[in-house]
Amino acid sequence: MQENNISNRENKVNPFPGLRPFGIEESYLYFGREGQSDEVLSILEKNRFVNILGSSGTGKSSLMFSGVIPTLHGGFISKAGSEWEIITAKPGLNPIKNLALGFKKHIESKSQDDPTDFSHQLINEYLFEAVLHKSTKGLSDLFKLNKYLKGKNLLLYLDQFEEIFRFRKLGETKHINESLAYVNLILEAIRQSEVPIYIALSMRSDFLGDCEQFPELTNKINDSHYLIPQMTREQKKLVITGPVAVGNAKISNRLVQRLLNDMGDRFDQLPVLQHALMRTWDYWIDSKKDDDQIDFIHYEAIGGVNEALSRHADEAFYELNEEEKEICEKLFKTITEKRSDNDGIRRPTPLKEISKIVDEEEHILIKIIDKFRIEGRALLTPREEYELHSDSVIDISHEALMRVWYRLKNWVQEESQSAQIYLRLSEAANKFQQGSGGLWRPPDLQLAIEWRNSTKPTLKWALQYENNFEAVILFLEKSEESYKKELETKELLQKRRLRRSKVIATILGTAAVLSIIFLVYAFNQSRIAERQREIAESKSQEAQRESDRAKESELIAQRQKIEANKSSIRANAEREKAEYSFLLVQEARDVEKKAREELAIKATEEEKARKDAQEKSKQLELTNLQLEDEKNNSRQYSMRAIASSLSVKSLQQEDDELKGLLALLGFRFNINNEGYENNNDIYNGLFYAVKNYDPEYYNAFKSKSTDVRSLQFVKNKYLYTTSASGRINAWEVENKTANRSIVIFDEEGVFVKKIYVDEENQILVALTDSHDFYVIDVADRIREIQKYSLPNSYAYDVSFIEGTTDFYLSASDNFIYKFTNNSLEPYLNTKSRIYDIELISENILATGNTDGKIELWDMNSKKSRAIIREANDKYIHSLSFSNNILATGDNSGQVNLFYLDDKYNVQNSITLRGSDGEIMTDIQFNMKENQIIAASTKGTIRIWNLIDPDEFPMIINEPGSWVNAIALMDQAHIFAGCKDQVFRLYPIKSEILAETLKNKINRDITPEEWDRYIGDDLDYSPIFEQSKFIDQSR
Amino acid sequence: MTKKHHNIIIKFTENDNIKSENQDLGWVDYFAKFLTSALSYRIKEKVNIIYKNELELITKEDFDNSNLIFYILSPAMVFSSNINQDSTELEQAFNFDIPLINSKIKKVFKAPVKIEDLPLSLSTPTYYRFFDNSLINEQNYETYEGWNEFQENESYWQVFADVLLDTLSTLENKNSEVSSRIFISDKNKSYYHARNVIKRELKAFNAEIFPDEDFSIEANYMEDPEEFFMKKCDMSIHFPDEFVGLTIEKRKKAFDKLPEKKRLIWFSPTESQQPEKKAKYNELKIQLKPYPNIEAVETTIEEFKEIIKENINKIIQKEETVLQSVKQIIYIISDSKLDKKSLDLLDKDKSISQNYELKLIDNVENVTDYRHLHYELLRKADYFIILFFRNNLPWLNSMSAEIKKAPGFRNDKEILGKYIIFNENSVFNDGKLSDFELIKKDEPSQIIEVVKKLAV
Repeated sequence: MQENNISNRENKVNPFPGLRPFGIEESYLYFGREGQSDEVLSILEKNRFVNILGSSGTGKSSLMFSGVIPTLHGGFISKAGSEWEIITAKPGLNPIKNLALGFKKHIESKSQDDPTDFSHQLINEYLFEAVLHKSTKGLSDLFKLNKYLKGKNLLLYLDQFEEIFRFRKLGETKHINESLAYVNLILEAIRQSEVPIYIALSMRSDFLGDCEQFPELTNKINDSHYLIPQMTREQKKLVITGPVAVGNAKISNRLVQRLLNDMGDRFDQLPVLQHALMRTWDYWIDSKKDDDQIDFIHYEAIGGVNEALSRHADEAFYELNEEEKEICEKLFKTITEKRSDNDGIRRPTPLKEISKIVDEEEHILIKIIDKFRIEGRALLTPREEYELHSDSVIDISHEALMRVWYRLKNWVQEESQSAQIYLRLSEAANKFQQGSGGLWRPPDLQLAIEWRNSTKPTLKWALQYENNFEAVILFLEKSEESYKKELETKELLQKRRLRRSKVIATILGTAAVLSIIFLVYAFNQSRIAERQREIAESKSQEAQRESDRAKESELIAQRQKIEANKSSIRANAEREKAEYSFLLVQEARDVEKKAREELAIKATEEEKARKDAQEKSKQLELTNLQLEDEKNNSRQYSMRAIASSLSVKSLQQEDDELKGLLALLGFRFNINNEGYENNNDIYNGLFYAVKNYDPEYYNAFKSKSTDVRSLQFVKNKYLYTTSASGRINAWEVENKTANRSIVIFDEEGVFVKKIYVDEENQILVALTDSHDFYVIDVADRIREIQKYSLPNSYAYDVSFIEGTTDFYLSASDNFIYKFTNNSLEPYLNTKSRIYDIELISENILATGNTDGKIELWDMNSKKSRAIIREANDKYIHSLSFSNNILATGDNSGQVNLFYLDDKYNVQNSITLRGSDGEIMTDIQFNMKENQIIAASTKGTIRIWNLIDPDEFPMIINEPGSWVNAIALMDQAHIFAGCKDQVFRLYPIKSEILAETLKNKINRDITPEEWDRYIGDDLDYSPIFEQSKFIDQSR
Repeated sequence: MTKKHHNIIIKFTENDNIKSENQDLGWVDYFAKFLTSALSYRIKEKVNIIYKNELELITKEDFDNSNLIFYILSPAMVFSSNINQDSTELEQAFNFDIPLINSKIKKVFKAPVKIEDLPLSLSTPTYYRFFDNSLINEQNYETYEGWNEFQENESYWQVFADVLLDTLSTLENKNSEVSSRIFISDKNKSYYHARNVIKRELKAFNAEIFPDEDFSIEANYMEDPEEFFMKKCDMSIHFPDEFVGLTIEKRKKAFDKLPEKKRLIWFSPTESQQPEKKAKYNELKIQLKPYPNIEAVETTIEEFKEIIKENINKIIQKEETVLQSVKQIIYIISDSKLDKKSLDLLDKDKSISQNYELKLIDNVENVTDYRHLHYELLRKADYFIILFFRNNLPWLNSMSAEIKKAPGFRNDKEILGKYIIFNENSVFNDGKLSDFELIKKDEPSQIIEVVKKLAV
C-alpha cells in the first residue's frame, strides 16, 4: 500500500488551487463551508438576488463556484428547476462592455454557428453591448435574444462588484452615468418578472459603505445579503485534511496543528494557506523520499505559511534579467493600488493599457507575465491555458499577494506615494493656473523632481489617477526653471558681492600698509631733518661768532691778512654748508606733507566705502518694499479672484437681494484691488442683479418699438431709428429719456436698410434694399425728401465728408460715388465689392471689401494709397476709425485693430480676443473711456479696453438675438437696436450699474452671508455706510 | 405557431446597396444579413427576406403575406422609386387603416430625407435613423451608397438593436399596451442624443413618445403643434436651449402653456459647464421660479431617466386614485382588540358598507406589512379614528403623532375628520391633541355609533 502510494505520486493531481478561487468543476475539493451555499440559495430563491459579502480572502468566489453553482445545478431552488445557465462577469473598467462580454462568451460556448461567420462575430461584438445600452431593460432583452436561455434560468454572477466603485471614482460624468446605468440594469433585471434572471454579486465587505452611492441598490442589499462567516478551527481543519484525503494522501496530525497555528486569526489567511498547501503538496510529490505522509519537512522546505508565497513569487522574479525586473516592478505597480494603510486592491488592466502605462512593447510584457502564471505558479491571471493578447486583462490572482509578498508590498507603497506626489502636483498646477498658488520650491520641488526622474511617469500612467498630466509636467518644468534661475541669480549676486568686497579689502589693505610705511618714513625723515637743522643752526652761530671774532681782530688781522683771508674762505664754506642743510630740512617737510595728503585720500576713500555700504542697505530696504508690494499684489490677485467668483455666484442666487449684494461686493472687491475695469464677470453680475430688480431697466425709453435696423445719434440729442416697417423715427433725447418720437419718413413699400446723419444734424441719408436711396433734410422744420437712384446697384455704406453734408457712398457695382450739391457721380472704381467705408481724414477713405481686403484710397488722386491687409476670404462688415486706430469686424466674428502712423502706414495690428464667431454688425470707438465696442448677429455686445487690448472683452449677452446697430450715447451708455423688438440702452461701465444697484437694494449683507459667501478670513464689512438702513428704520 | 416561417420585405433602391471597394456586400445586404443572423439567436422558424427594389411594387398579396416591411429611405429612394405607387396600393387596399399599416411598415432612414416628401402611408410611428441627425449636413451624404461609416460603430448598433428588438416583438405578436404618453421636445440640437437616450428608455417601459416625426404631418395643421402634442401627453420633457434667447413675451408664452401638466426641463451637467451657456442656464432657472408645474432638473442622464419614471408613476397613481376613490376610507387604530361581534355589526350595516371602507389595525403581527399599510392609509384615508382604552399614554402620543404627519404624504387630498375615542378612565393631556375631536364612550365596540354618525 505504501509503495503503491509512492509509486503513484507523480500521477496525483494537486488538490489545492493555490491563490485562485476554486472552479465549478472542483467542488469535490471544496471543504469547510458546507451548508453555507444552501443559505445563499435560499436568499437567492426568495429575492432573485443575493449579495455575497466577505473580507478579502474569505472565499467569496470559491463559495460561488464550488458551493452555490453546483448546488444550483442540482436543482435545489425547487420553484425554478434545475436547468440553469451561468454567466459571469466582472465590472472592471468598462462595466457594461464586460457584462456584454459575459453574454458573448456564453453564446459562443453554446453556439454551433460558424465561428468565422462575420455577421455573428459583429453581432456578438457590438449588438449585445448596444442592447444593454438601449434601456434599463437591457438584461431581460438580452435574455430573450438568446435561444439557449429559452426555458432556462439564468444566474448572472458579478464577481468583484467593488470594482464599480473604483470605476465611478474616476469622476467624469461618463463614468458616473455608466456606473448608474449598470446598477439600474441589475435592479431592473431583479424587478421584472418576465424572464427568470437571478443575480448574485460578490463584494468585499469593506466596500459596503460605498453602496450608499446607489440608494436603490442599498435597499436591495438590505434585503438580501449574505455575509460569509469566518471559518472555525474545525472548519479550517477540514479545509486542510479534506482535499488531502480526496487526493488519496495523508498529512501528519502535527503538521495540521502547526498549519492552523501558523495561520493565526488573520482574516485573509485562507488563500495563503491554500497556496502553502499547494506548494507543500508539490514538494511532497517531488521529494523522492519514502515518507508516506506530508509532514513538517515538506512544509518547512517551502517556507511555511508566512514565507511560501513570498518565496514563490521571488522565484519567478529572480528568473528575470535586470531589465525585465524593472519592467516587472512597473507592471505590478500598474495592476495594484493602495487602499488604506495595510490594504491594497487589485486594478485589473488590459495588456494594451499596461503596455502604454509602462511604455514597453506587449511581447516583452507577455514574457514577464508568463513567468508569473505558469502551471503551479498562477500568481497572475488569466490562467496559463489562455493565450495573452492585447485585450487580455491582467490581474493578480488574489489580493493576499499584496499583503504577503514583501516586494510587492513595497511596490504598492511606492506607487501610492508616487500617485500622491502626482495628485499634489496636479492640485498645485491647477492652483497655479488659476492664480491662487505659486510655483513649487524645495523641499517639495526636490521631491517632485526626484519622483519624475526615478519613476518616469507616462501620460497613460497619470490618467489612472487624474487627467492633468501635461499641466503637471509643465508646472514642474516651470518650477524647476524658475528655481534654477533663482539660484543662478542668487549665485551671481553672491559672486558679485564677494568680488567687490575682495577688491575693497585689497585696496584698503594695501592702503593701510602703505600709509604705515609712509608714516614711519616720514617720521624718520622729519627727525633726520630736525637734527641736521640743529647742527646747521649751531654751525651758523659758530660761524657768526667766528666772523665777529674776525671783525674784532681785523685790525690785528690786517697783519695777519693771509691768515684772515684763509679764515674768511673757511667761513664761507661753512655758510654754504648751513644753507644746504636748510634745503634738506625743506625737502623733508615736503615729503611729510605728501604722506599726510595721501593719508587724507585714504580717509576719504574709506568714507566712500562706508557710504557705499549705506547705499546698499538702502537698496535692501527698497527690495523689502518691493517684496511688500509683491505680497500686496498677490493679495490683490486673490481678492480679485474672490471678486469674480462672487459675481459668478451672484448669478446663481435666487434671492434678489442677495444676488444684488454679491454682485455689488464683487464689484467693490474688484475696484478696490485694482481689478480690470472691464471684467466681464463683474459686469454680468451687476447687469443681471439690476435686471432682476427692474426687468425693463435696459429697455430704452420704456417704449415698445419695432425692431431697430439702424440707428444714429447726433449732437448728443437727436436719435434717429429705422425699423423693418421702413419708417424712420426721430427722437429728442434728454436725460437719457425721450418722451416721444416723430415719424420723419414713411413711404409705403420702401424698406429702409440703413440711415446716416451728418455730424451737424443737417441731412439724413436712408439706404433702402432697392436701387433707391433718400436724402432727407432734417435741419428744417419742413423736411424735404429727395429720392435718388443708383443705376443697377445697391448702396452699402455712406461716409460723410467732415464738416459738410457731402458724402461718399459705396455700392454693389464696385463704385464709390460722391454725393455733392445734390447730385451723385461715380467717383472711384474699386474693382471689388466694398461693403463698408470710412473716411479717416479729409481725403483718405478706408474700405473693407467682401474678401476681407482692407485698403486706403487717396480721394484726390482717386488711387489706392495703401493696402492695410490682403484679402483673407472673410467679409468685412464694419469699419471704424479713431485716434489712428482702424478697427474692422468681419463675418467670422473677428475684430482686428490696425494701428496706423501719421502717414497711415500700419505699425502694428492685433486680433481682439473673445470673438463670438458670428457677423460683427457694428463697431464703435468710445475714446473717452478707451473702449471699443462691437455688436454681432449672435446677439452680444462686446466691449474691449484699448489700453489692454489683450484682455477678454466685457460681454453683454442679454439681447440674445441680432444686434443690428449700436450708437454711443454719452460715453457711458450705448443704444442697441435689436431684432427682438426691444430697443435698448445699456450702461457700458460697471460703476453706473453698481450705483443703480445700490439704490435698489433694500438691505445689507448679513455677517452670516458674509461668512458663507466670502469666508471668515476676511473681516465682515457691510456694503453701505451704516446710515442708510438705520435712517430708514427711523 | 401555425406559421412555419416569417416573411420580411425590404424595399430599397439599388443605389443604396452599391458595394464599396473593400466590402463584399452593400448596405442593404448587410442590414438583411445582420437581421437574419440576429433573429436566429432567438427564433427557430425560418425568416425569409424578400428584396424589393425600386422597380418592384409591393402588391396587396405581398402585403398580406409579409410580417414586416422595411423601407430603406434615402433621397435616392424618395426621388427615384415608385414609392408613391406602392403607397396608393397600400392605402387603397387598407382604406387608410393606419394602425394596421403601422404595425407592418417600418421606416429605416439610411440618409437624411424630408418627412414631407414621404407619402402618407409611410407615416409609421416606428422609424430608425442610421445617420447622425444632429450633424444635419446633407453634403456629407452625397455618396450614401454602399458601406457607410456608421456600420462599425456604436451608433449603428444602437439603432440596429432598436430594429431587432422591435422586429422580434412584431414577429412574436407581442403588442404591449401604451402605459403613458410623454412629450419630449425636439427643438434642441445639442440635446439630440440625450433625447434619443430618454426616448429609448421610456419606450422600453411602454411609453409613447411625442412628437414622433410621423405625426408631424398631423401637427402641421395645428396652430401650435407643440401645445397640440403636450395636450395629448401625461407629462412633458424639455431641454433648456429652446428657452434660451427668447423674448420676454415668447418665453412667457412658452412657460404659460398648459399649467396643469407636469413639465421637466433637463439641464445636462456637461452642457451647463460650457461658459457661454452657464449664465444663460442660470438665468433660465431663475425665470422658472413662478411656475410650479415646471421643474428644472440638473443631474446625470441616468438619474434623470429614473426621475422621469418616478414622475410618470406619480401621475398614473394620481389618476388611479381619482378613479378608485368612490368609497371613503376610515382608518381605525385601536389599542384594544375589537370583538368579532361588533366587527360583524359594522360589516352588516349597509349605510356604512356602501359608503365607507373600514381599515382597522388593532392587532399587529408583521411589522413590515403593517407599516406598508399604515403609510398607504396615511396617504389615502379620509377619516382617522384612534381607540384609546388602555391608558398607555406613550402609545397614544406615538399614534396621534403619526396621524398628524398624514397631510405631508397626501396629493391634495383633504382629511375629513380625526377622532379619538376614549373612556372615562383614560388620562391624557388634551391640549396636545387639539386638532382631534375627542369623543367619550364606554367601550371600543361603541365605535359603530361614531361611524354611523359620519354616515349621517
